[in-house]
Amino acid sequence: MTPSAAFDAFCNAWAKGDSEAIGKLFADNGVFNAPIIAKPAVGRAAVEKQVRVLSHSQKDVSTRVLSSVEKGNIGYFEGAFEAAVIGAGGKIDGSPVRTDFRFLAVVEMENGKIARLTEYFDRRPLYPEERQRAYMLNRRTPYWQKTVDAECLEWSVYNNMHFPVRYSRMPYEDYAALLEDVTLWDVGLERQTQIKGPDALAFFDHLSCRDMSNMAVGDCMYALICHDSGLLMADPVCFRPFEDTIWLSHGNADLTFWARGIAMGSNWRVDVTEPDIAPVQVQGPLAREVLDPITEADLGKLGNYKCVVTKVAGYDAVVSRTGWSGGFGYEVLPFDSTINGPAVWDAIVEAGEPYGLKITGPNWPRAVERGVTDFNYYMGSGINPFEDVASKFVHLDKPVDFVGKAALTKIKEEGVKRHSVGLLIDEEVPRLEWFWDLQDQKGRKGLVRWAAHSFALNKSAAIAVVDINIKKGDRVTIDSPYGTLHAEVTTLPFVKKAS
Amino acid sequence: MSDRGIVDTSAVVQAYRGKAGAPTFASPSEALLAYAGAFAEKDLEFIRSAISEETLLELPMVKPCRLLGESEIFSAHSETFKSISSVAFELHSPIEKGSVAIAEGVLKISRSGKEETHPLGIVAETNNGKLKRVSLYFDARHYRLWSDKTIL
Repeated sequence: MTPSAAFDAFCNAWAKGDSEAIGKLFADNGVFNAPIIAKPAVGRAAVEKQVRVLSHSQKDVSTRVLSSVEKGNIGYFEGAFEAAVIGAGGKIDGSPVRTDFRFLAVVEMENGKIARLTEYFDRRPLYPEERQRAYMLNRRTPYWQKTVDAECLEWSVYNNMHFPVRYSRMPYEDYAALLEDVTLWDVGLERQTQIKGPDALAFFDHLSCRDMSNMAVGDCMYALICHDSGLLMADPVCFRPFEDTIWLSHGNADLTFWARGIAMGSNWRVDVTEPDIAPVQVQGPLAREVLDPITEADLGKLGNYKCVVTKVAGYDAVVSRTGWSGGFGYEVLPFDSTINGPAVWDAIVEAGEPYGLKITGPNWPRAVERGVTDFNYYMGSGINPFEDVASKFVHLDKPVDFVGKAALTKIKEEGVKRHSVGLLIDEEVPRLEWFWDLQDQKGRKGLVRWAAHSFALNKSAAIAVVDINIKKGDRVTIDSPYGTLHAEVTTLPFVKKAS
Repeated sequence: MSDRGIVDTSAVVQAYRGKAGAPTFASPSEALLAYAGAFAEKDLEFIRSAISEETLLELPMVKPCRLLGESEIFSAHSETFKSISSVAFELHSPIEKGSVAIAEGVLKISRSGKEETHPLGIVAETNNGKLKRVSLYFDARHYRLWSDKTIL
C-alpha cells in the first residue's frame, strides 16, 4: 500500500468511526501522533483506542486533501478537516460546535503498513481564544493554578468558589477517560460542613431525613437534608473519619451557616465549622492503580462508601470510596488543603501519568446516564425529597425527630404530586442553562432539570420532575431556548451498569 | 521518524543571494529551503526580495496568522526577528510534485534565554519560479491554547 492509499483509507475509516479498520492499516509498532492528543499512541492497540476516542467525538466528518506529495515510503498531505463535535451542546447562536482546521499529515510506510502517521495543525481555532477570566468575588480552590495549567477553559461558581468544568478536549474524550481510564477532578469547592463534638452523630441525625444513627467511624453515607418546610437543601455524601467528627461534603448550599445556626444557642454539644478540606476526586476504573502506590492505607481493603484516615504522598488525608461518577473511584480530602493540597494534586498527576490520567471536570453526560444529580436538582429548587429518585432515603419512622419531619409527614399524607423520570429526547440538546418547561398531550406539566448527550445511548437524555401521572412511555414536548424538543418518558437510571 | 538526513538551508539561500530582482527558484523545494534558510539567518532583505503582493504566508504561531503581500509579511518577520536571539530549521529533504514542495522537521528558537524546539511541517508553493505561498504547520501540543503572548 502506498502512503496515498493508506491516508485515503485512514480518512475514510475515520469518517465512519471505524477505528478497527484504522488499526489494521498500522504496523504492530505503528505510531499515531497529533497535537490534539497528550502523547503519541504507540502500537496498533493504542492507535486503535486513540482513534476510536477521537473519531467517536465527532460526526459529519470530511477531509479534503489540498496538496499531496509522495516519494517511496513517505507521503505528505496538506488538507482541510471538518467535523461537528458530539455532545458539545452547540453554540449560543444554535449552530454546532465544530472542529474545522487545516493540517499537514505525514505518512511513513513500512512493509505496506503505516509505521507513522503524524499530523501538524493549530488547535487554537478549536477552542475559545483564551480561558474564561475570573473575578475576585469568588474563592479559588487550592488547585486553581493546577487547573489553569491543565488548560481549563471554563469555570462555574459553586459554594462561592470557582468550579473548573470544561477543559480543552471534546466531551467524548473526557467521557472515555472516565469510563476506560482515570480522571482527576478539582472539587475543592465541595465544601465540608464539619460537625465536631460529643453529640456530632446525634446532631447530624437531627439534620438528616435518613436514619444516620448506625453510621460507624469509617463509614460514608448519602444523606438528604431538608429545611423545616420539607424542601430539599442538599444531598451530601457524609464521612465519619473520627469518632467525634462528621463531614457533610455538600453541594451548592449554605449548609454550614444553616447547621451552625441550628446548633447556636441549643443544647447540642457540637461545633459546626467549615474546615480547610478541599477534596479532589480520582474517578475511573484505574483509580486504584493510580492512588494505591502513593497512599499509606491499603485501598484494596477499602469498601464502597468507606473512608480511611491515612497519608497520601506523605500528607495527612482522608480517602473514601465515593464520587460523583456513578462508577468506581475515590475522593481524596487532604488536611490543611490550602497548604498541602497542591502537593497532593501533583503526586496524583505524577502517579497517573502511566495510566493516561486526564484532568477533567465532573462528567455531566455520565452523571445523567447514571441518574446522578446535583445542584439545581436539589437545592433551593422547590422540590421535596419524595419527588426525587433518592426518596427511599427519607425515613419518617426513624426514632428521633429531625428537621422537616412534620412538613414531610404532611406532604406524604396529602399525596406526592410529582416524581422524577428520565426523558429520551429526539433532538440534540443545547447546554441546559436553566430549567425547561415540559408538558404532555393532556397538558400535565413538569420541568427538565438535567440534560446532556448520552454517549451510551447515542442520543440526548434528561432528568425531569413531572406530574405524578406522567408515566413511562408517555410523549412530552419541551420548551427549550432553541425551540421545541420532543421526548419519551422513561425510568432512571438510563444506564444501570457502573464502569 | 526514519533517518532521512538534514538539509543545509544556508547553502540554498546563499545560492540565490546577490542576484538582481526577485529570485526565480529552480523548484518549489529550493523555494522552501531558501525561505527556511533566510528565516534562520533573519535575512529580512532576502525575504523581502522573494515575496510579492500575491505571496501568502500562513504561520499559525503569530498574529495575524495569515499574511498576504510584501508589507504584511515583511513587517511580521521584522517583529518576529526582534524577539529571537537565534533560530534554526532542521528540515528533511522536501518532496515535491508540480508547484508544491513539503518538508518536515523542527524549528529551534532561542529567545529570552530559553531554548525551544517546535516540530513542524512546511509547504511551499511557487508560480513560475516565484514564491506564491509558504504554510507552516506546527505540533501545537508545544504551545498553550490561550497564551496571551505570541510564540514567535
